[in-house]
Amino acid sequence: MSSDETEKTPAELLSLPNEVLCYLFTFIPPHDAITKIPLVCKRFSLIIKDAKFWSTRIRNEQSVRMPQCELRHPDYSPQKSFYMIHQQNQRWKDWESQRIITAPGHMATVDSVMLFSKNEKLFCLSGSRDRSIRLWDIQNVGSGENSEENKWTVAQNDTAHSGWIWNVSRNEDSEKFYTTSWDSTVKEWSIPDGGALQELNSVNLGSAVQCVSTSGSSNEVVCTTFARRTAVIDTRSFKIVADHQLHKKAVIGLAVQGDKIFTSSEDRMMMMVDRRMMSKAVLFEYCPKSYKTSLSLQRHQLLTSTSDGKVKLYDANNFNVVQSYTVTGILGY
Amino acid sequence: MVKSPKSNKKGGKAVKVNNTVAVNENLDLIYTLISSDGEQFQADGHSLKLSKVLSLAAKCLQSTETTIHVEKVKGDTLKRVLEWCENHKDDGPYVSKCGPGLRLPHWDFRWLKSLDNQQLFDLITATNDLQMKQLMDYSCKTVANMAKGKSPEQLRQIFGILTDEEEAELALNEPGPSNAN
Repeated sequence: MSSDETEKTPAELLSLPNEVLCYLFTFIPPHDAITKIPLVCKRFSLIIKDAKFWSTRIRNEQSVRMPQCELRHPDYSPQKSFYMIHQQNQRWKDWESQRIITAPGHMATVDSVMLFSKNEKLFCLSGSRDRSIRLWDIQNVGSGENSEENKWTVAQNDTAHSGWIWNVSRNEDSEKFYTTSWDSTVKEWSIPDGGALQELNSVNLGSAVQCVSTSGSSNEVVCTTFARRTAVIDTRSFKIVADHQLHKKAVIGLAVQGDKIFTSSEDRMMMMVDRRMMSKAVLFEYCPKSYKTSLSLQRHQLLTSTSDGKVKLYDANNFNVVQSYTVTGILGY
Repeated sequence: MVKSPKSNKKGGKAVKVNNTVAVNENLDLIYTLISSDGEQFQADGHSLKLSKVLSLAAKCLQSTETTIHVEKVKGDTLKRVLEWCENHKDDGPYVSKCGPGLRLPHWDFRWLKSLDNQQLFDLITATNDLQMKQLMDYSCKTVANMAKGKSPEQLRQIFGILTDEEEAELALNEPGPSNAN
């Protein structure tokens, strides 16, 4: 098609009706469809910016039904959702062929790992039953053998606790770490650049401490213990400032978002209390058949794993079950 | 929802099929297809099977008739449609694989590549009107391949699309009630 044939009208892609154009766009890789196509002309832009185009694709091509609490969220964008789902599908499509590297170092079960990034480098902090915590440099692990020049473990503390370490958490703003242990303490750590792990604070909660979360208020850390307790610790004084013992058994699941504290226990109850009034459960669920082994909270959706092998998705505002999957075996984290 | 000039699908859902008619009948019968500009073509039932609209139209014919008027499609486009059907009439059932993952068979790839843009777009419109999923998927994929890795400016050049400014300019100069003397 040469441009000096001025008498001949150029081929009209625009002569195709909209629904044909929509179908055509589904064959273009999502990244190009989102970034380049809208810039071609106004008509294309209107199609790509239409939420319905993407909602239909999520339903038909990706076979995904969004839960109501997600659809009603003010930030919900079907275009973004489609793209994220596409990315995740691509990523996990061949997960068996992804590289697996075993990093030896701990001498006993590693019960908790936490991935984070700092200054664009990737790290992992692990806590183990050998009572130590180790900081791993992920890039080094991926680039070659463990050696003096290419250290996998860049910092460690072999006597971090005097009992099994159950959980590790990190506050993104203050960059401080918190570890919980069978020795009944919660400890606060910092890792200065290039330096060793530094213990800053410690508080004893009376019994083995299980979960920890830094997603509540900025100066507070929430923990749960085996003696049914859910405690809030002020990081400035490192003292317990609030707690409740509404559960009847060990509290093994915790998720926090702002003022909402979600907990689950072996007593088969799952509840949510408001930080400002810890004495009463705002939401409550009792499940006779199983208990929730872990909780994960994001944007009003609570994902739980149960002791009878299911993954259940709840609407965090009202504890309605949105979806339920059965997986074989018992799930941990 | 974006408003669009909707294409009218020919026949299709509005026509009822007589359920008592035997399923395998008339597949070897030769039909005459007449395009919108009067050109005539021959095709058998196996070829027509690839188009939902055409096979339904064939089923609804009176017992002695074998002519189908294909009003929405021009002669040269219809000729290509039938050429493709001829090549694919012995295929098994087609499972549509939406999206960028689709791979074209060798013959189709070369055949579609030999068409120019206008012929390709006309073909896509025809497959939409005649409800031919397989050929539609292949031709859309061909267009998508042409668009691969191109910048918006290049896309406009390839597909003959004007920028919004050029379109506005054109609209301004077009004769009409507002600028008639």
